[in-house]
Amino acid sequence: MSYNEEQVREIFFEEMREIFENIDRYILVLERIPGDLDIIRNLFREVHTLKGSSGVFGLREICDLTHHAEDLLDRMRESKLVPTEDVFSVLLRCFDRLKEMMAFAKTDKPLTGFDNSELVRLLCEFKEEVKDSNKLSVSGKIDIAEQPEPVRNKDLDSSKKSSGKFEYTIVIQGCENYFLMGIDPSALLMNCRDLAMSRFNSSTQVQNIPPLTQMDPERCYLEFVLKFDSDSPYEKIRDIFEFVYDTSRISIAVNGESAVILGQKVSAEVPVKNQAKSESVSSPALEAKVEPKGNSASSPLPPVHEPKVLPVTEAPVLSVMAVPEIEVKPPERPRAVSIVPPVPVAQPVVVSTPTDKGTSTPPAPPKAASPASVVTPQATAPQAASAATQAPSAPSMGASGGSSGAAGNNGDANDFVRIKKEKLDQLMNLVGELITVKNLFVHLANRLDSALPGSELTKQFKEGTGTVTRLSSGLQESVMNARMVPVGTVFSKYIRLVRDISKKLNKKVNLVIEGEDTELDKTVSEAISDPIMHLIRNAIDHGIETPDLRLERGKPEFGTIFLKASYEGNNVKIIVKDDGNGLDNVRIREKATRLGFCTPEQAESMSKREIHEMIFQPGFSTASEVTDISGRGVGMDVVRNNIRKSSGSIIIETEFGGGTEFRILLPLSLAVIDALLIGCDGETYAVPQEVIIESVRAEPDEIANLNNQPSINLRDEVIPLLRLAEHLPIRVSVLDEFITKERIRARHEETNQNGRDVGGTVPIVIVQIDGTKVGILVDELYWQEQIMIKPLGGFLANISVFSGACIMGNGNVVLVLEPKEMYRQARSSDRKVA
Amino acid sequence: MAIVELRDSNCIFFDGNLTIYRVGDLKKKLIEILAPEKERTGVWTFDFSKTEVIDAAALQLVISLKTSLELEKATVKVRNVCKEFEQSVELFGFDRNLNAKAG
Repeated sequence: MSYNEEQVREIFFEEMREIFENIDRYILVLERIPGDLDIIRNLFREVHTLKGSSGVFGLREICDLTHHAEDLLDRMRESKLVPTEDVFSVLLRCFDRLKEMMAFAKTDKPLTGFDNSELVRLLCEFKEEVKDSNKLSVSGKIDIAEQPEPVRNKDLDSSKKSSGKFEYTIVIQGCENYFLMGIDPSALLMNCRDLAMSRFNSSTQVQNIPPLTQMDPERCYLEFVLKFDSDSPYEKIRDIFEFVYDTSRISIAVNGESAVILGQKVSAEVPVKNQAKSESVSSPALEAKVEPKGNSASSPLPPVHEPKVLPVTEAPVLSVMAVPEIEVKPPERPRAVSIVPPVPVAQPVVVSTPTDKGTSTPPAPPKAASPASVVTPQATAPQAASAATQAPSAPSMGASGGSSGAAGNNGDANDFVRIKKEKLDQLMNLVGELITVKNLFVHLANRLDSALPGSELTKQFKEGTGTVTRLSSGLQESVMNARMVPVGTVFSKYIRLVRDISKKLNKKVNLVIEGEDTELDKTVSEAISDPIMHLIRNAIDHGIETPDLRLERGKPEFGTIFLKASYEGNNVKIIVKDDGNGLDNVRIREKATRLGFCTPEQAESMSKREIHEMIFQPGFSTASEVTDISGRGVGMDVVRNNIRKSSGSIIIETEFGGGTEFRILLPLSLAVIDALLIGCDGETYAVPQEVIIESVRAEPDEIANLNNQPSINLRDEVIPLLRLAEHLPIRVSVLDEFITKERIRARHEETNQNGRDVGGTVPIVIVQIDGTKVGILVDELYWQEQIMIKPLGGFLANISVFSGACIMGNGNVVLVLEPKEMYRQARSSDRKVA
Repeated sequence: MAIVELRDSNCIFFDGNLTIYRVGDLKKKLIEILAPEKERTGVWTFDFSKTEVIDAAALQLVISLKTSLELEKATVKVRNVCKEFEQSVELFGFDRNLNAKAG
């Protein structure tokens, strides 16, 4: 087995990104239900993995800062720290910094420039508060008798108990698979060393290492014996080995009196050797109830992960491990302290009994909450906890996380392959090329059919072309599916956004997410991330009122932002809705006039839709003051541009005082699209099918000029028309004009000869742009074809009415029209003329 | 330059950080260096002047190498280790095995 360090680095940073996402998610849910021990544990695991993995990769600075956060979470986990809003804020700040540091590490920049002293100070302050809160708890707030104790060891002498100093002897054996599983024993040793007080001795048994020629360098032959003093309780020491229970045997002896054996690798073949044996033999017994039971041959092995307290006096540690017939009673578990959540939420007091680490179920695999996950203070604790525990549990390269993902989830984990987006892009490009070739075959088949109608060759060629078409369609569909990602991956980051902005603005906001499972092409999902973020920022800043004002208006104190994704035909519809102020049409009119976007007369005659469209104008904002959140009139412009770049559209529905709804319609995929080929001035153009509602032929006298705008009455609906030729920015030379006219004349003659009666009708392509129907007058309607859009280069790249070009089956290059941009330019020039 | 090379007849020079990702190659190269025809007695030196990071997997390999040489009556000396290297060795308690001291 060989490792590619660069690939491992990539995987590491990707996993770290996922871990940070999970951490954010857990903290945000925990903020709502601070006493939820399951979430605290999951959060702790993620942080522990972050620490371990960054340590393995030599990112000491990250490891150090994470250590402080982990310490704080540990206190929380042990119910020694009442989590407050301030604690969560500092934790979020800490992880923001860690993300920043990780980004630096990714680009190989040194981390020494980060000054984390302030963060460390804040984290430590909370730790100090822990001590204070423990003092307070004596007075009755927390039952001191229920505080967790390190080890239930009645034999501990009083001096040791009062000083809180414990002598640990830890033996780590059976580590054969450590390296293969990405577990670095040095991380375990370092974690122990970090908790050691004055003395830390480690010795590594090397007798098992074979000679060079016989050894497998990726197998760990080492065994470790650690001896140290620490004031840390047994649970804390035990948790260091939390992620290696499955992979090895860990024996923990406290004060030379006990050996608690963790791990499933209890095997009769374990050789009895090493110094741990003799030392353990000499140790007195821990007062743990151990009852011999039955015959060793017939007794089942103890349950996996179950910690076992074994009487060292009866047998040496290693010998005991070889005798599975002993029924072991786990050490007494401390009871959790009840914590009343500090947030004003109508929910019961959270009282949880922590289960043993080893026996606890691993975090649930990634699953999008469906149909709706409500990240809201109003959510009940189980709901929110469920939403939180659905966060992905990332596999890890680190010492701590590697085995967690492996435990029990091997089947699922093996079903997934992590692949770089570039590789999928490359695959999609090749599929696009294949479709171009397929179109060529179709074209050739048609020509062959004209030249040799009914011949065997034509028949066979057409059959072959049919097969190529079918296979390329299947391949295209498969590749497009592989590129699909759940929109929830984008949505999840808004939870933090809503939290931060609402706190900053002293507003109370719930975010309701629905349809996270809805899938979208990776490129499209990335492209909509910023637009949705702007909409949410604006919704909180300008839409949702302050709690007082909301109560005054008879609304609930908490505003709601509703984020929903669903399928609509071949599109994905995303709704961003708030129950805030709604758009003020009067104010928009005034502002639009003042900013010169329209004349007062035009403003008066504007429809509601046109008024709402104004907010998408660059530089338009009705905000009375500019804040660092919004109000510069940049956001909404970016929103529409980004959505249009993704061939999407956005529609506004608003009710003054009642809220605003933005409906975004996006294509499922961008790379290969269906297009209608049309002709204009002798050239062929492609119009994306997704914007086309229908194509019609109209009699010339059906086209009327309404308010200087050519329009058509189509089934009692007046639709404005654009003459394509007038909106194409291609100036035709005199020679080209002559050639074009000749081409058109020739085509008309050909059409008449073929007996097709077009009767002088005008072809119109009806498209829908941001909810408005518009007709495009063209010269010819050809056929529909799948095309792969290629970006334009040179001067053509700056012409916004073309979104790209494609190569047709006959080798011709066809420009792809962007009807939305044509319409926008037409409206803009109309306003200028006015 | 190779991950490891033989210098001055009995000096094994390790180049760069030694981690799990390189142990496979390192073992192959070491076996090449210690070809059967090579005399393996006398004093051998492991030079770690270019190594700042060494993990457990690589340390295990180095110890295996050292043991293999010692079985053939060679004496092994470790030299030019940096502080970080020394700390790694100390963490595992290998300082007695390797006698690796920085500076």
